[in-house]
Amino acid sequence: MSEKKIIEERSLILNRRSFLGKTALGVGGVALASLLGANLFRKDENGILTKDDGLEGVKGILNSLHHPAKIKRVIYLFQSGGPSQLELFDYKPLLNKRRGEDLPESIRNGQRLTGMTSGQDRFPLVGSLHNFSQHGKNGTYISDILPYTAKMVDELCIIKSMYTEAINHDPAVTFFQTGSQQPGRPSIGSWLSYGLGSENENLPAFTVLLSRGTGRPNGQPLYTRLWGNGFLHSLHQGVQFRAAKDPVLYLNDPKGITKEVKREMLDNLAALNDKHYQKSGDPEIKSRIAQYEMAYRMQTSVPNVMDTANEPDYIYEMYGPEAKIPGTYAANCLLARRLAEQDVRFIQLYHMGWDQHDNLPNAIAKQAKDVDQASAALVADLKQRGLLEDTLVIWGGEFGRTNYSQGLLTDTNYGRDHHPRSFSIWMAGGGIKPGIVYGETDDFGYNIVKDPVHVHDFQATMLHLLGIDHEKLTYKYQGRRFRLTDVEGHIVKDILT
Amino acid sequence: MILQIISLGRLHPLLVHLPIGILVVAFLMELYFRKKDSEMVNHIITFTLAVAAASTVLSVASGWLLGEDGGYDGTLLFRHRWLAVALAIGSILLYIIKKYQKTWSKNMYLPLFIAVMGLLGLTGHYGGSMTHGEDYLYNNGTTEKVVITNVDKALVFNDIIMPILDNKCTGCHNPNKVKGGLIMTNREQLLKGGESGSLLIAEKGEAPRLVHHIKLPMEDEDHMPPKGKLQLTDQEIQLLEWWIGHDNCFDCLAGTLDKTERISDILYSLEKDTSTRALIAEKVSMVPENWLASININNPIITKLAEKNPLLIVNLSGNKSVGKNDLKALKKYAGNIVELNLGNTNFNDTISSYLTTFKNLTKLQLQNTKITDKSIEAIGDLKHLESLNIYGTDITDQGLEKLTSLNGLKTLYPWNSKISKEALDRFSSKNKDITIVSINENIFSPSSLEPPTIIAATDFFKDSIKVTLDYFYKGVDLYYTLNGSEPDSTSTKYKDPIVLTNSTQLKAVSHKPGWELSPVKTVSFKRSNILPKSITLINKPSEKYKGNGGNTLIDLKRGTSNLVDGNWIGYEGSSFAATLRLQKEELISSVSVGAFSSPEKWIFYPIGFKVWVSQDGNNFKLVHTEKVPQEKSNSDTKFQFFDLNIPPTKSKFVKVEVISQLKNPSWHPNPGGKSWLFLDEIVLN
Repeated sequence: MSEKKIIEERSLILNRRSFLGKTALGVGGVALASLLGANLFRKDENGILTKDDGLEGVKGILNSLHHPAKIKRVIYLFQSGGPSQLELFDYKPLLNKRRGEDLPESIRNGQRLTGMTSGQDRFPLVGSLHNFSQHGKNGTYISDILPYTAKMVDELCIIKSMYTEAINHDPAVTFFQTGSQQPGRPSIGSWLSYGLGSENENLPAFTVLLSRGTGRPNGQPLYTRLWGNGFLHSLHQGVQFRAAKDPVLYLNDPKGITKEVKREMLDNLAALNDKHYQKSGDPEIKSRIAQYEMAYRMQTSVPNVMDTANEPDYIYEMYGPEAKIPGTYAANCLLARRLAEQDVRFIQLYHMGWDQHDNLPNAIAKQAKDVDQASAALVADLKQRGLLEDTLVIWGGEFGRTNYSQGLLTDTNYGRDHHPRSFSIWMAGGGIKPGIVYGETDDFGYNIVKDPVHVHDFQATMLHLLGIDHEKLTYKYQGRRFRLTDVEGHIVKDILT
Repeated sequence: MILQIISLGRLHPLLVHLPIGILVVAFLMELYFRKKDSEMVNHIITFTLAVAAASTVLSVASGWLLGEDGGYDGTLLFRHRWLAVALAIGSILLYIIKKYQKTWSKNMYLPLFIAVMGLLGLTGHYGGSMTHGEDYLYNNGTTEKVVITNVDKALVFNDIIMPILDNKCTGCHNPNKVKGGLIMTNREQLLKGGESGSLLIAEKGEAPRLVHHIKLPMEDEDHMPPKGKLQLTDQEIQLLEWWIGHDNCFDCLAGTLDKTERISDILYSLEKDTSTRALIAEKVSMVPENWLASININNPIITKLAEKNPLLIVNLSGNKSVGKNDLKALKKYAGNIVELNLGNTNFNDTISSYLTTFKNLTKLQLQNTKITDKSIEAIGDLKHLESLNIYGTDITDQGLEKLTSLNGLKTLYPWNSKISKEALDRFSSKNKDITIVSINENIFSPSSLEPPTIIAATDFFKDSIKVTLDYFYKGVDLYYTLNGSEPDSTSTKYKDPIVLTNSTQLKAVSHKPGWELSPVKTVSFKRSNILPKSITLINKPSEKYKGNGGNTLIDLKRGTSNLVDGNWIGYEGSSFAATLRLQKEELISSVSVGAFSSPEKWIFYPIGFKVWVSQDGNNFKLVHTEKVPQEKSNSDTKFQFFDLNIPPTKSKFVKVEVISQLKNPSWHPNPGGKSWLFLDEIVLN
């Protein structure tokens, strides 16, 4: 049931209550109440009217999709910190040729700077210290520090013309995840949970996995609000699976509590909560009851998903040795595939440590090694299982990095500052043209010269693939209908099959 | 006055239907009551004929005026007009004969009536031909409709513009009804234009006449199509403008012309979906919502492909108790189901015959089920199947052969089934249209070995410690040394956990025949016999990295790469010095200092050490000075214990100074900046 209906129902409950209380008309009152709330009642198998709570968290608000979907789920490999496109996907030999020269003002064209480089008096251009070579059917240039990704390039759609509006980490990540730079809006996964519900009643529709990179191990932190439900119901928030004895916090029973005791406790608790709900009509109580039930079911489903011991050796060979170490990016990629097999709708990974302001050549090589093999293996593994045709895999960060050096430029060392005007991401999977490169930046790798893709365009396209019209999935809050793409967003048709 | 008469002409389409209906009724009554002659009936029929005659005359009159408007095909108009006049005379005659019956006329009455009915039919036909076109009757409407399957390859004029004109314009602008002297049925006539001039070329700074008239306000007399006729949609107007904007190109392909995003959207919407699913959707009816709800009562397993779409997707994946009843329950609307997911279920050969019910499946997922070749028969009957997933099943080469009967199959997922590679190669060479999904396994075969993992409870120990070595893959041997020398495949081979009783540097490698040796992994294990009682820091650490003060260094805990884990103390731009006080006087022969280095974080190893000893805590004797070379250019994050061997001395106090390089070296990105010194432990032996 939709949130709107929940609120309607709430007001009706209160109406009914006060009506009955004041008039004590008994039967007449009940009849009127059921007239008012006719759509809130349904007949069960025995033909008896029951109230449709609809808050089980399984069904979404959309009764059916706006148009047939190309994909059923999304795995978003978020590279937090802003990976340098110039060392990974966007090959710009001109920068090597003109190394050390100042960035021409005609190219910078008034772009604002972060506080970290605004004090610099020169902006010396710097090309990648890592070589690029051509791969795949179309001879796409990929950096040598991504050897596995390079081998999978015929499956990928590389977008070199992403751009964003934010220049610092938090607003930029928030923008990608919620469509707004200010905190407080629901994350993509929450929107999907709200719109489509969960396809697996034993697992949440929106799960989150975190890992720390080796490139800058103590770099930018992340906040749980990035996978928060914003103004949506709290049952739509992302559930974080941790690499620890308790993958989901507070899920397991204390020692000495048997399944039966737990069941009985939950039933009694639900009865109490329901009583309170009847009194106050607060929909959050229903939400809480639903969450307890989901948690109860997750007590069995989560250990099953997290137990990777039975994965055969060749799977570990694909994802790389780190896949055996819980909490690494590789292990999370393997879990992502297992969650996808369980029909979890939105699987969000975050890999931290891409924020290489200094010592970039070295750090990015390490960081790339963290993610390269496992990302490629995930695409391949989904493919051989037949999951890739209805899954969208996205690899990308919140912004790119500048084409000039932050800090001193030496023969072996340089840094790069944040750059929102152009950066690269890749996608693979259902509905996306494989083996293509979309968009282009100028020879300086600074401005987009062809087919720009805004963050809202990216979000609109993702929703389109899921069968959702991004303009129609809305939620009314504080008098305004909000949506993930705010008031913008164009579907990037050219990358769709 | 004239205008009003003309508008009476406009009533013609309404009036013509009156005589048609009334005459037909009169004729039928005449036939029906022929043998039951009665006064009453005759009166009724006479009255009916009177009304018929009057309405016929009215129709002819209005039609005459409308015909004067012009724009109609001359021949058709001539025939229609004069046949109508004849009809009017005929119906008046009928009335007169009926009313004033005479014997001579009684015999003429019925033949005349039949003749009038014939006239009625002919007049009506010519009238219809004038408004709807001469071929209207014989054209079933679909043969000429252009079906666009790929809009980029569509001819802009023939496939996109002409259908719009055909729908909205040519009703009045055709060779039979040339309104305004304009015919819009073909290219030559469009170029020729009408009475007022050219249709497609802009004049007087206005938009070309075609667009101009369409965009005039509805109230304007010149608005086209006239008020009351079917109007053009916004999309159609935009397409016309787009076409005229490209010099009304008659032979261009839509893909070759520039277009805005809006125009491409409109163009794409014209594409007819000819996919298998779209064709199935045309054949089946919508599914009632309450049936869907009854199936989904326990678990949401069935979903509509999209709103207003009759097709269904069924997902039973992971359900370990699928039975025939589950499949039977879906039978009522089985034809609507185009996708069925039975992956990871208990589905098997005994219930696979039920698959044939789902005759419109385009996608079937049977991965990780117990089906064998026996189920292939049922699958082979699914003629619309486009994607089949049988990974992890027991289907063999024989089963694969039978799949050739699936003509529409496009994608097959055979990974991890019992099908041999040779059989797959044979199959794919015979069935070029089928993509057999597989990945190149060589991509992910490990190119080098990783060093082993060294697992121990702690890095410090008092008496002994157990150390385990591990490696991710099987079939890899691990070799190690305990004496600091570099291990290779001739060193000690690892079998059981190693027990260490002395401070040891453990070095290990992984080895597999035919592979290069892995890099060396080194871990230092420190035996710590002498636990200091207390430590006094002579200079204070940085506020940010003060750990647990001096005790941080004697708590037998190693620091990690997380510098705020409480196991490090850090000094910015200064050296370290501290005094350790022992429980009692002990013989000391070595001091080990654990340090951290990570030049990118401005942290460097020490460049020198000094050690003093004392019995009373006042008089200290310098017993050791050591210099360490400064680090060369690097940016690795690393840990190291610096072991300082001192002449064995009995003492109760030990003073240690660890010398920092104070400033970043010249090779650093920020030379001259204050560098850091990080220490986690001091161990005495």
